[in-house]
Amino acid sequence: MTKLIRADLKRCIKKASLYIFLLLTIFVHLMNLIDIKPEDSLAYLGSIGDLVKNVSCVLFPLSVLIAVFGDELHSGAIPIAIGRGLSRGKVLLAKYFDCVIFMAAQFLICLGCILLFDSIAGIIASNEDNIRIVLNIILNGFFPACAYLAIAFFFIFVMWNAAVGFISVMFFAWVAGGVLYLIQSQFKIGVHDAWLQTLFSHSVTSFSMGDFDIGFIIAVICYIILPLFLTAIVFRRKELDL
Amino acid sequence: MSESAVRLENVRKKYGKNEILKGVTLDVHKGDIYGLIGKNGAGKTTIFKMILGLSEMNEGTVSIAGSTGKSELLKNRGKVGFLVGARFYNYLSARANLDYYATVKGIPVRGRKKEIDRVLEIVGLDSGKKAFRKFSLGMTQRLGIANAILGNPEILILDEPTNGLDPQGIADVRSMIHRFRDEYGMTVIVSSHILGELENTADRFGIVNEGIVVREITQEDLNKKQSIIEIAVDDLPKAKELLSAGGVSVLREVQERSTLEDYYFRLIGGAKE
Repeated sequence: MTKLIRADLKRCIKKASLYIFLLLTIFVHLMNLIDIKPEDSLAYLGSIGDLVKNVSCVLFPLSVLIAVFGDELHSGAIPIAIGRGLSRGKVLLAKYFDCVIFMAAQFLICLGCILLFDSIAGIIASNEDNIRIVLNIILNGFFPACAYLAIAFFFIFVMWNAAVGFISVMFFAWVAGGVLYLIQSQFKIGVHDAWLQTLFSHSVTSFSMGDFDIGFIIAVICYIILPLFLTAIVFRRKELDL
Repeated sequence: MSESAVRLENVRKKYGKNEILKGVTLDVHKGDIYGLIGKNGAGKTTIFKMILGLSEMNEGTVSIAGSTGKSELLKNRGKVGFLVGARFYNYLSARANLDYYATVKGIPVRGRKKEIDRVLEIVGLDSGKKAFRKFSLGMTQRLGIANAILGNPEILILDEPTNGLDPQGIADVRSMIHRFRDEYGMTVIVSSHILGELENTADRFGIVNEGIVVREITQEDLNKKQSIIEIAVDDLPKAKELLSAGGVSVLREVQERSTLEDYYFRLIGGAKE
């Protein structure tokens, strides 16, 4: 499995989508700094959270999916890896780890840039604020993005179509939350409270106050582990053509 | 008895109600060049997919290099190189594609370049720097073979390797297959529907028809002199029984509906004009 990950990382690192979407996200964060005064740090922290949720959280998974799966299904590389003795579960996990590794690097670079911009602009003064930014990037950005990836994997591996996976990321990041909010407010069913964005956002508040949030574990199990597990089950029986 | 390289026993595969493989049994011995013959849709590629684990069988067993369990089968698939519909990453060069698969196969970094040079030289592709998207069908097949033999596998599966090749290319593939067996000790399973081509390449043949291996023959069988006589009989099972009792094997039987003319001439003993 590590051999496949290594080969994929080497193959995909030259993909332009990884860098274009990263630069775009950094640019958006830079623009966010304009007109912010040092005394507006609280509002600024909130805006970082929103940007992470609505921009980084979508652009990063999209860019890694394009890099990893853009040519993958057409190339026949997955059937070749399976034909050479890699189990289907390992192939699936290797591809997921490829995406997560690239995305972690993107979030890390993005976080570095935000902290650098903030220190240059002199907006964030306290350590607590910096910790809140880091928690925002990890819990409002990285983990939900991992969940969108896991859900996208389900669609990609079941339908054997990368484009459906790309669309699913945008749908679940931008549309699903709003739809669930409407359902919750209309029918008084707590579906929005159980949605991944809500659970991860809530854990930012809990963790920043030093409390452990069980909602975080539930979100990881329901929105990352479960979709991957279901994908593995369906993919095990998938007919593969060469 | 020869050691088995690939063995399929009573393998069945259904797609819905359509049974593609109806109990395929075949045994490829170590060191064989085994030709799988059959028309399009006979089930040759499905047999390969079963061996490679790309399709789940409904019934039967597959064994590679003497594997007995599922985990051993999975492990032994690492000993197989294959060309089944050559496809690669379009944006990468031939060399970069081979480098990718060499990494997946676990060929050490130090020997990787040398190994890629070796396989490119065997299949007759030059430096391999050209992007794959610019490859002709013939070059694609050659690159597919190069990929299949990366790391010197014990067993090589080639599905229609001469597809898209010119006569020189076909002759090259034939000599390559012999080289793989004679120089590198590989067991080769090759499929084709060009019978004349396969006849010059393989030494054992499996004839696949409508999802079943109807007969296995060897080069010796082909070399056997056969006397062909035409006998019209009205009780075929009895005729076969009598011939068999006399030690004569029936290699082929053709059943035709008699025309009135045939019947008449058989009855009166005359001859058709």
